Amino acid sequence: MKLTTIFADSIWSVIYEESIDDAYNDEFEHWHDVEYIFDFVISHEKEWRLSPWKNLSIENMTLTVMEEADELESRLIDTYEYHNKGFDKEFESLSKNSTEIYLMKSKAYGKTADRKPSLLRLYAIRIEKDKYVITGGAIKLVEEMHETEELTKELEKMEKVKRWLKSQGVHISGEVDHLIE
Amino acid sequence: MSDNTVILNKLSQGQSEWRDRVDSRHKDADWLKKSAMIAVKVLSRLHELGMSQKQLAEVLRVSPQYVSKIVKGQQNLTLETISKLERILGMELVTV
Repeated sequence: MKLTTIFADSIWSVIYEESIDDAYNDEFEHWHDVEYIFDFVISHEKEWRLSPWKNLSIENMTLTVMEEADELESRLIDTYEYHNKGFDKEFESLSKNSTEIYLMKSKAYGKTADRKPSLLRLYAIRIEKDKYVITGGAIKLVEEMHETEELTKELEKMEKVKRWLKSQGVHISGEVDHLIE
Repeated sequence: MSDNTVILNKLSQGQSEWRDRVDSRHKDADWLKKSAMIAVKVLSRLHELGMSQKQLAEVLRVSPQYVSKIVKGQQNLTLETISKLERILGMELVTV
């Protein structure tokens, strides 16, 4: 496993052993690949028809994924370039009930919180304030991650990256005391 | 710079090429969006007809790689190709 830098000193992305591209690039390439999105939606038709997007046509589903990807990418770029807010405003804990404070599994949405539901998730491990390592992403049509094979795999990837980061010496930063309070 | 930042920067192979890809997508945004809309229509029609991309490539007399670029929404299509696709698939892809 290796890393590549997405936003200097703030966001890194994992390059898995079996991959050429890093996780961040991989996801955004998929989310701009019409054939990938189309095939994904068709092969998850059951989940799609039970989802909040059940009334959208396949054409609109595909274009919605691409638009959400553009929106997320623009927000991340703005966050970095204009420093008007930290990345902690874009990412949140993977689970509302999470008790993780060290290397917390996290997610960013395609759409902002006030405009949910969002089809896209970008998954990451939180290192410390406003710093994240991207592990993957998904088109999420179901409520719980264990409901599909792809999302379960994303969870496993996060755990794997978390273990690897620990083994490389990434440690609890001084901010943890503040978080516990 | 925090200790963790130093560790992560040491583990990093360097800057990802993501920004070049974003710039390229932004530069070509107008035609890429139109290409994406055509790609979805083509894929939907192929799905309906039960026709493979390979079969489409044969009828269009182009390489499978070219059809792959069309359905990924990454081909800057000519009017000639669009017209051929419309004839083969029996549908309108672009309205003028």
